[in-house]
Amino acid sequence: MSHTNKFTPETEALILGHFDNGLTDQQESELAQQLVTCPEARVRFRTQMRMEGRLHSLGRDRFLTPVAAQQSSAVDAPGPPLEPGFTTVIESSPPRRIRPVFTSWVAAASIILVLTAWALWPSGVNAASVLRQAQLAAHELVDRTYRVTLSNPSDQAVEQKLTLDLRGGSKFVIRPVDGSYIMGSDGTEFWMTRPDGPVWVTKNYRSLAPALRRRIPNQRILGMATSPSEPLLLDVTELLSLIKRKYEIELVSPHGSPEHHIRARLRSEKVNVPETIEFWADADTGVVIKALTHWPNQDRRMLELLNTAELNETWYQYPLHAPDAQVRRL
Amino acid sequence: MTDTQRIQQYLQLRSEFMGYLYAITRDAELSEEVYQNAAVVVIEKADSDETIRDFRSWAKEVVRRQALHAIRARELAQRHGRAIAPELLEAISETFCEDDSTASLVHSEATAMQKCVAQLPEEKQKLLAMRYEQDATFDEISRRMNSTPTAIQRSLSRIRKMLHECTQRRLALSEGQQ
Repeated sequence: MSHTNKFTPETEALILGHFDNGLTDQQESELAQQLVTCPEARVRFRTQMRMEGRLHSLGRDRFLTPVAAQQSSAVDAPGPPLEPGFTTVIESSPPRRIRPVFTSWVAAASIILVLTAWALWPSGVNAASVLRQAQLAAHELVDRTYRVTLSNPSDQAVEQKLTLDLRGGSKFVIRPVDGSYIMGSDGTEFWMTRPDGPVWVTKNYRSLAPALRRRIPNQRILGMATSPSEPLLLDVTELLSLIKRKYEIELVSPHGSPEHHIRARLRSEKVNVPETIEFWADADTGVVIKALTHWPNQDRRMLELLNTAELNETWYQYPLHAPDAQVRRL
Repeated sequence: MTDTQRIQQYLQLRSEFMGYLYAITRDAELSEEVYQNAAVVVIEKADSDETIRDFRSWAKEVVRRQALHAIRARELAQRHGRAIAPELLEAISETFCEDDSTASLVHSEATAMQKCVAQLPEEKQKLLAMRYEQDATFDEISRRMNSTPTAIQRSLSRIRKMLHECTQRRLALSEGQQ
C-alpha cells in the first residue's frame, strides 16, 4: 500500500485489523503513517475507538447477549448459519458471575479460608481498592434491582420485604411487596403515591416525611427513607460514601473469590448509624451484590441484587406508576 | 465540583477512554485495569482542592499516562509476545488527545450504535457477545461455532463495518430531521 493521504478501503481494513491485533509490523507502520497524514483516517479511527469502547462497555454490563439467548437453555436449537461454512449456532452465554443470594456454606467456607489464608494475603487487592471499585460501579447509569429485607431477630413484626430499582446515585423506585405504596425519584423530583391516591411530589425529599406522616400506610418505612442515617434503603452510593467517611474497613474474602467481602466497623460511637456494615461486591465489576447493616437495637437491613436489566427512562417518573392520579406538589 | 460529580463525569467518558485503551493495549483486561487505576487518580484529585478547568482533557491525560505506564510494565513483564509499534502508539495517542467531538455528538453516536446493535440478526449479536462480553478469542469462538479463526475474524470485521455504516446513517438521518 502506498503512503498517500487518501482514505481508502485498505485504510479502513487496517483500522479494523488493528483492533483484532491482526496487523503485521509493516501494516502497523502503514496505519501510523495514515493516521499522521490523512485527516479522514484519524476521524475514522476515532469513531472506531469510540465504538470499540462502547462494545466493551455493553459487553461488560451484559447487554450484548440477545434476550432470546439469555432465556434459552444451555444448548440452543440450530438456526441459520452466520457465514458460509458455519454449521452450528453459538452456545448460550455462560451463567453470569453475579449471584444474588449467598448460600450459608459459601459464607462458612469464606470464614475458614480467611482464618487460614490471612497471613498469605497478596497485596494486589485491598479493602480500599474494593471500596473504590464499588463506588465507581454504583455511580454507573445502569439499572439494578435489589430486594430489601428489614428484620430484627427479637421482633418478628419488623420483618418486611421491598423491591428497589436504582440507576446511578440519583434515580430510584421502591415498592413494598404488598404494593401498598410506591416511592421514587427521577433525579430531580421525589414522589410518592398509593393505589387510588394522589401523587405527592417535591424537590425536597426530606419534606415528604412530615407532609405525609398521616397519609401513608407505613410510616416506619418513610421515616427510614427520609432519615439521613438510613442510606442503605435508597442509595448504594450513599452507603459506600458513609463507609468511606466513618468506618474502618477490612477485606474478609479470600483471594480469588468471585466476590469481595468487606466488613466496615464504625470508627467512633454514634447514634442513628449502623454499628457494622458488610457488603459483597463482584470481583470483576465492583457491583454491590449484597449489603447488610447491623444496628445497635438488633435491627438488620439487607440488600440483595436481583438483576441488572435496562429499564425505560420513564420508570423513574411518577406518571408511569400513577397515570391518572391527581398531582399535589409540596 | 463534588466528589460524586467528578466520578459521574469520569464514568460518562468510560466508553471513550476504554476505546482508546483497547486501541493501544488490545487487551480488555489490561484496559479495564488502567481505567480503574486512572479512576483512583481522579478520585484522589477529587479530594484535593485543585481546580480543573477542562475535565475531559485533564482526564484524557490521566488515562494516557496511566496507559503508557501500564504498557511499559507489560513489556517489561513480557506478558505479550509482540508490542505495538512505537510510531503507531504515538499516532493513536495523538489522535485520541486531539479528539474534540462534542458531548452531544458522542451521546448521539452511542445511542445510534446501540440501536444498530439491537437491529443486528441474533446470530451476529451472539458473535459480538462472545467477543466483547466473554472476551473469547477467535480460536475459542471458532471452536464453538465449528468454523475457523480467520472466518470469525472476517465476520467480526464485517459486523463492525456494518455497525459503523448504520451508526453514521442514523446520525445523518437525525441531523436531517433537525
